[in-house]
Amino acid sequence: MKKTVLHIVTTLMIIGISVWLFAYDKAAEPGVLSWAHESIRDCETCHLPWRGVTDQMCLQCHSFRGNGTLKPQLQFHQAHAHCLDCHSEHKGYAGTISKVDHTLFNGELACTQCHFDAHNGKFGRDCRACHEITTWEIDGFRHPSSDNRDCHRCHAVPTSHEKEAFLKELKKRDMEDSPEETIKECWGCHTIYRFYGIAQND
Amino acid sequence: MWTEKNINAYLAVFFVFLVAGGLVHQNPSFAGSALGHTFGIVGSLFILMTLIYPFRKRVLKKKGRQNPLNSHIAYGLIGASLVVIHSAHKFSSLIGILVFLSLVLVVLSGVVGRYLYKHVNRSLREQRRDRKLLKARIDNRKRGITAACLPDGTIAMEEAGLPEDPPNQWPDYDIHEDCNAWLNEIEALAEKEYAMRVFDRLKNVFSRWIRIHFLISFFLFAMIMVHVLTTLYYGLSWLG
Repeated sequence: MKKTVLHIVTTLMIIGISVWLFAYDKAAEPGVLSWAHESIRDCETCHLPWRGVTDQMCLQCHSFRGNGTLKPQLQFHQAHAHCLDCHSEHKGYAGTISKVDHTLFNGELACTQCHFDAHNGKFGRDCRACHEITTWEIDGFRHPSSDNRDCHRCHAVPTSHEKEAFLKELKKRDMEDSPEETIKECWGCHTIYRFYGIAQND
Repeated sequence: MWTEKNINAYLAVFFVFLVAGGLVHQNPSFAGSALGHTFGIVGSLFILMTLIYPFRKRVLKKKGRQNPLNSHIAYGLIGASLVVIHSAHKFSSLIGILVFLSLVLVVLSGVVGRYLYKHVNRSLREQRRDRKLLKARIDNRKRGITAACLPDGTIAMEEAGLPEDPPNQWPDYDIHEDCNAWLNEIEALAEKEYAMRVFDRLKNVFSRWIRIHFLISFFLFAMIMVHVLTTLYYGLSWLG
């Protein structure tokens, strides 16, 4: 009899703890919310019961109606609609809640809508011709072909070329007729493989 | 090398390493990923399979080879290991922590039951056998001494296997020596019985492990259920 009562009490206690844990929101919280969402107290604000976090739940606060309402750098959101593919929460107060997956973007999205073009447009708009989407680093330097004679578009004329010694060098190479033109004809002395190595003029 | 018993020992060592891995590793996003959930689901199924053993033992009354304990241990250890992999050592939610702690306690109480209780039981069995032998020897000696002594206090020399001559003719026989041996044996028996009482008490303590093991297992199953229900309630992000 005593044993049976003990079993019943133990069972009821464990069931009670389980029910309490299920009902207590914080017991299931996998981590603290980020500073951006810290004011949210109720889990159901974002989590639709038995369905989870849907795009509609995010769009209750984050509206993307029309390009005009978005900053240029955020307009790529129009290209992909599923928030959880890039955003997640409960990673701590200062946690990063965005992890952009570039493979999700469609071809219409220009890289420069979000990224600063360090080449000032000199290499065109097709960033992916050289860059991959997982890293900015590229395998080795890819110089335009040797037929390209627009060196000055990227390379500024160094101050050393304005000195006497440079003019002497031009004279030596019979190129002193129009120094203003010659100074932009980099290929006359330089190669694309070794900019600081001067090609020997026979 | 690959006997069932050894495999279980390897699984236990693997489990200990996995748990200890939490000291140097943690992956906050693995548990919620599709692969992480797969580990969790398969692990829980293995843990559920451990119920086969108590069901067959208590309901179907199958014991011994018909219901091997080794399978129960293997299912439990594989399940527990998969669940630890699922957690990826991220212990942040209260329910997750409770699942992990009860899991470790269930495995620990299982090890106590399987190995320590078994050893105590075996020692007790050996001591009982020794006591039986000792008691038989004491009884034999007692019979010999009783038979050798006459009611008037003199010794029946023939019964004692000695010549019926005056005392100075049998100086080699000393009844005290026989009595001393008898007393020593009685002393040894007393010591043996004391040790057995200690082992008996130990056995009683260990016999409670099954209740503790059962209780924590019950708690573990309840926590797994709460964990699964809350996960479904708040949504599986990777399914969205």
